[in-house]
Amino acid sequence: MKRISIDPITRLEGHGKIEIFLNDDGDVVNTYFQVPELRGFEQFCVGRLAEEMPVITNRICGVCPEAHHLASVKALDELFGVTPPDAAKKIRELLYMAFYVTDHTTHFYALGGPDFIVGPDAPPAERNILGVVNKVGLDIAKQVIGCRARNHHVLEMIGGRGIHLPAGVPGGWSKSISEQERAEIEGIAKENIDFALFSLKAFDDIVLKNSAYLDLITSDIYVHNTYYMGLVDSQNRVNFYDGMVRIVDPEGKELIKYHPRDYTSVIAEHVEEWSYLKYPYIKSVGWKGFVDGMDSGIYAASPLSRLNVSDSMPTPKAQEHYERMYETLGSKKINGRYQPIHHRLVTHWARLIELLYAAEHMLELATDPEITSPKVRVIPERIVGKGVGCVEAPRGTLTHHYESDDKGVLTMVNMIVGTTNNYAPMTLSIKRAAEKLITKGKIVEQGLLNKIEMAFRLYDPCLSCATHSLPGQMPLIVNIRNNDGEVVRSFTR
Amino acid sequence: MAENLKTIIIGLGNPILCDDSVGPKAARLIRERLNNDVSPERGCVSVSEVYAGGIRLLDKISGYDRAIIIDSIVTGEAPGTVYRLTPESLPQTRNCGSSHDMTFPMALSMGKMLGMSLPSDIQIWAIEAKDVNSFGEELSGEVEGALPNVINDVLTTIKRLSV
Repeated sequence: MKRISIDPITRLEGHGKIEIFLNDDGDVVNTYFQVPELRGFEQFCVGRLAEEMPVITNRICGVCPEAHHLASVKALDELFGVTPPDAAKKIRELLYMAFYVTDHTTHFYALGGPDFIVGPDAPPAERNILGVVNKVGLDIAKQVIGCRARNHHVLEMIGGRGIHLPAGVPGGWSKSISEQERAEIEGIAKENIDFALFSLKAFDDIVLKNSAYLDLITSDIYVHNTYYMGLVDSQNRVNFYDGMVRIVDPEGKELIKYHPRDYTSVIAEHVEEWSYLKYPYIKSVGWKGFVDGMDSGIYAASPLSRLNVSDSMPTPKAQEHYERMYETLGSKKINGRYQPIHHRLVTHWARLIELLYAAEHMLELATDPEITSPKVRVIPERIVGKGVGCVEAPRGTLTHHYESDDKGVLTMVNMIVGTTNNYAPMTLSIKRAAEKLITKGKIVEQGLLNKIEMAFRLYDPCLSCATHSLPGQMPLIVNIRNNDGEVVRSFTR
Repeated sequence: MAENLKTIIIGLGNPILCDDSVGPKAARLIRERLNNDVSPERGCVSVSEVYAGGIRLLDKISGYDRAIIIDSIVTGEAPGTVYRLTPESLPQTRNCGSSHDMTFPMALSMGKMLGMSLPSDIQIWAIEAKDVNSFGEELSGEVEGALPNVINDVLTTIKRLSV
């Protein structure tokens, strides 16, 4: 590729924009996925009292307020040097399981699933939940709406309000759960398990039994041999709420397991001259460009990543399906654990297995004798001045890092949100789709946008605070540029 | 006199994202004005601040005869420009479309398929935003300037349709 020096002023900006760069032969060299970065969050927070953060950060975006709320209260536990009582940890986790059920359900049925259920080649106007309903029947819409409604009810019951929940506080939770509430949540958790099993069966019938879809999943189009990141418990099992961050290499061997507060010694951010996005990578491996493999520090953090870093699932039914997924895709066991699956479209399957785990764990927590304990808070009595809180957001590992003065006034705020972890792997997937459809300057227009959309949709990127949506989806602009950076073709949807 | 319609007014947007907070701010101001209003239609008007499109918005409006939604929009026109839209003409308000849910028109179609009780009258006021990418609680001058007219318009609409 001819080297061109680019003034930072010409860095690309855009809203849901993809830039594809060709070399002199008309082949793809680089692709960039552009999303608007929200500005000024640190300035917005510095100077405020640290304890305001759980109700500020849960307003960052309307998609995962619960994830931000919990990462925030966990950071405050550390900042104020306080350990919440067990009942409070369990209540937080119970709320989080209900959130996971709604979030994964929405993604599968409204966003990711239509590509398979309606079909990857169906027109975009049909690849949505209405298309799913037309194909599978009205009952599925009732199930999806019902599942969301009953779990939102749980979120309000435990969290204290609909979307911007206020109940989490440093040292625990604001209110305990009554026996009547507990019994109701138990019933809802049982319904969630049935719904998750129903969803896995639908995936089985519609996707796995259809050879064309199975071929698509197992094709080499979105295969990237990257590192994987996710939280694990003391037995190296998936955990959404707590634990150590584990990174495994492309062959499945543990590279490192670290406490979330040590994130800056493990993760660095690469800046590209063409893009405002920062691409996190593993420091010890290094940045080698947008390539996969053992020598490239690119990692992914997603439902599939979480399963890839774990030795097993903590609940029985999820474990059965976890084993089935790895066995079906021919993953071998090495030293007692499955080798990672690198086929990115399998992320949709992994998401459903996580849905089942969240439902089963919700039932475990709802039937835990301690869940109705009135001891839900320890009042903080000191200020340590630094705290890092970490949870697995549905879209990847979410880290909140706060520092304060001795009065608890914030002096520094940093966050790595789930989607950010996947900027580099998303770029890899988009590049792969582009390489397949653009060769020697010839552009296969049919399917280009769709293949590119499927590439980023499987990561479930959270761009909701940044979309200027047209009805149906984020408006997508694809620019194809020649070696001099001039736009030679532009597609929009 | 026509029967009073059960109405919900929704201010849609992120309360800490500069001009995107115009919807929730409008809702708060309308609530204040209505609280000083003892007219008969006051009893059947609810006001709500929401930060979610898609199905959550659908849940909010179900059971009402009429919904009025106030949201920000980014079209490239002059900041502060006000648009009157309906779900049929809804081009791209910021929060009626969601990248992690379904869009509002799609949610409405699904609600109808499911036989939900939805308002027969849905009106949308969209205000062109200047900055929706910076955190802050203040509106830009242009958007702030558009608020009084939007609020008066919404209140007039309620009164006109209630008698």
